[in-house]
Amino acid sequence: MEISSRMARWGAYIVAFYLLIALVTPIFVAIGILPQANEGLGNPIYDPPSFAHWCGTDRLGRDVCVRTLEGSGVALQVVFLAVTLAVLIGVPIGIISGYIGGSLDRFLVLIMDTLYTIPVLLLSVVLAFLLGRGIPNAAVALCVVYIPQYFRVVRNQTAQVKAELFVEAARSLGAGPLWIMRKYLLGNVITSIPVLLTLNAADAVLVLGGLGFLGLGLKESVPEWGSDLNMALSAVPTGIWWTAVYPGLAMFLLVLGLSFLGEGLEELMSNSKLISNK
Amino acid sequence: MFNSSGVALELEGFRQRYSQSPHWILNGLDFKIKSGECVALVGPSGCGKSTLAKAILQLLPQGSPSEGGLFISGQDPRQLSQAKLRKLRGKSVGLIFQDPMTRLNPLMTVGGHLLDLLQAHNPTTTYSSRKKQAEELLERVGIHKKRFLAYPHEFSGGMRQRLGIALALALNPELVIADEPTTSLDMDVANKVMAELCSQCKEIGSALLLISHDLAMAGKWCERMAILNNGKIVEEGQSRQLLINPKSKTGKTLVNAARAREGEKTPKKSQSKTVLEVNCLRSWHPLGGMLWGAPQWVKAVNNVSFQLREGEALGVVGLSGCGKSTLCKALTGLTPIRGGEVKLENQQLLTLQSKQCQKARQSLQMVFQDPLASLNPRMTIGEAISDPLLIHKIANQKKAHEKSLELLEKVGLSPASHYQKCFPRELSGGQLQRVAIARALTLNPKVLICDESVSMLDAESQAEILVLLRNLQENLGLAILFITHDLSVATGFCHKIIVLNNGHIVEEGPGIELFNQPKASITRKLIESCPRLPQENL
Repeated sequence: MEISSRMARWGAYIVAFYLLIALVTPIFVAIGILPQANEGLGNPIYDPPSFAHWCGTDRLGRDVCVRTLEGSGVALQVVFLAVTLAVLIGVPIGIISGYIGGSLDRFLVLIMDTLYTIPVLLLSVVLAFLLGRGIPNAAVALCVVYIPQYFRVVRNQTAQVKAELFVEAARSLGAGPLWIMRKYLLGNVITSIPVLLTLNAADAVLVLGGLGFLGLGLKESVPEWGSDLNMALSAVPTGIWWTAVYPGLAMFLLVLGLSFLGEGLEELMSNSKLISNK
Repeated sequence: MFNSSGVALELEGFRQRYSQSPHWILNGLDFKIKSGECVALVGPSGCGKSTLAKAILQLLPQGSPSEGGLFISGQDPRQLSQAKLRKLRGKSVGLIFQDPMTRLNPLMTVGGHLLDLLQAHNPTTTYSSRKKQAEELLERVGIHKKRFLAYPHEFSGGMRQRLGIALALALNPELVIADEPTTSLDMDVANKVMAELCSQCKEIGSALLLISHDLAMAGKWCERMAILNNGKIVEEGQSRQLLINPKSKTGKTLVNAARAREGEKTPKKSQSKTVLEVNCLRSWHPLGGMLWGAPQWVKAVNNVSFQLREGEALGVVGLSGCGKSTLCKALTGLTPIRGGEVKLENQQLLTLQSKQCQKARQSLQMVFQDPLASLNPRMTIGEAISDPLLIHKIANQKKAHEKSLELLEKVGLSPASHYQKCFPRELSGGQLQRVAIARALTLNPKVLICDESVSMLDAESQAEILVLLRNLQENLGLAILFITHDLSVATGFCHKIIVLNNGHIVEEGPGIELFNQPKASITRKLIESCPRLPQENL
């Protein structure tokens, strides 16, 4: 089998695994199989992995295993919201800008390019600081970062497709601009979106972790990999590795899975494009 | 050892297939071309013409199996080493492609292409001698040596094809293969290019294998002709004889299709009410440049007037760049009109408000040249045909769906329920053009504009589409504005023809009159360059 489809498949497995964990963990916590994520008063602090606490406990005696598992749900929620928002805003603006062109197009491109020049982490840190903490706030802070990417891809593709004969044919049939954008352009310009979406999701997981690490983004009570890593940092030199390894590994694997999925999809799409062109 | 004297190409029971498919694309070819001979290979699309050209030069994907004898001046290219094979390509066989632009390196000058080729084959010669030779080659195909440093994008289609000829002939090959060399060129240029190609081949004594789907052109330039179908030569003989009296079944269908396309005589003119009246229409494109002073204009259409009656077909003929396409676009509202008046069913289009204008324009629809490009690749055929109804909110989804079935049957695509679910890329060119016609008919138009609607199809599909248009015209009383560069097609199809040049009408009248007594020089040029099949009584 080709490496691209193998990558896409393994990426899909990993992401599906995380989705499963995100769904199942709250249920297990509710029925009492797993302890509460923020409950640590009755536990010893910095307890190494044992049968009672599979991944040990942290500085406050909280179970690292549960916090890591719950963190996946939180990360997926924020990332999903952020990327969806970015697509829902970026794609329509891109199509409008590309199709209508002229000064509106130049103005939007200028704004988006300006946004694009600001480093991702800096922009999201500033936005997260301004918007305050919480899942929707973090999602908005992340989505602003990704809108220009969708805008760019979609705008350029639209400008290309709008010169095609079938768009002219639709105009000669009497179709208005909205109709053309919806029925003739949309389907032809969103082909590269799935790839960008998964790759951005991988990136967003890292940025969210960065925000958490800096103490921004989510509320303190929400178990989040970034903030856990920050807390674990001070204890690592004393040989307490488990508080850092498990959240770090979880983040690494999710990013890997999403990147695999994105890269694999990209390869598959360019291959299928070649075949359909033949 | 095989004796090569006097034979440029010999095929003996030659079979070729692609490695992925079990079918032989070429199945037992027996074919011979003598040195200095001019032979045409014709056949319907998909019969294996282009595969043969590639097989001769061993340009097919590696590992494509072949059997039987293949000899180029006595050598079997399959037995040669890669180095010798490269020598053979170019030195013994020159190839001319259909679209020259895609075969030229856009970053290399015209002269650079020639120098590169000469150097690859004669590495020992000096630069100045190569340059001299390259300049001579350019002059030989009618390109001034001043253009030595020009880039391919600065050349027109005809010039590029001339360069293609120069490249193919640079090393005086014994055999030149031209694969549809003029398909992407307009009539007049095509004629000049073919004349150049033939005279050059004669001069250096090369044999020419012309691969084409155009029987009339093949007959005009080649003394011998072979018809290929299903990977076999089904008929071979003197061009004139073969075209007048074809023996094989494929030959008969091809010749009949070509004749049907040409149309023997101009159809009778009908007397009915006028549906479209155009008076002094002007459509100019502004040229950017000066900030002050009078604006510069390209007068693409200037003072064009005509009338179109119900059930009448009006041909608009001219060379490329004469304003044919701008005329279409202006009438359909895709290009702004600068002046004049357009009266559609007694309504002045130019004075109407945009809403009313859109409504009035429903009765004027257009069929484009390239059917595949004019359909949205992500819409099924059914959706494409019903879309106009949804755009103008005339019918709901269900009604539109039914209407599209009915229209598909009307244009001869049955079972309609099968075609409705297809995507454009799954259909052939002829079928797609039927779909495009069906879509244009969805809004029950009174006037249909066909912009080169048949020129991209092979002769057989062309004839079929013309018959379809004729039937629709008789049944629905359609007025057709038929735009073409091919005077012979227009003569057979249209009641009246106008000849455009530089945006003006230079001549008008029934096609047959134009053909027999052309007045304008441009008409004469069109007639000369337009190859026609030989008639029996001539």
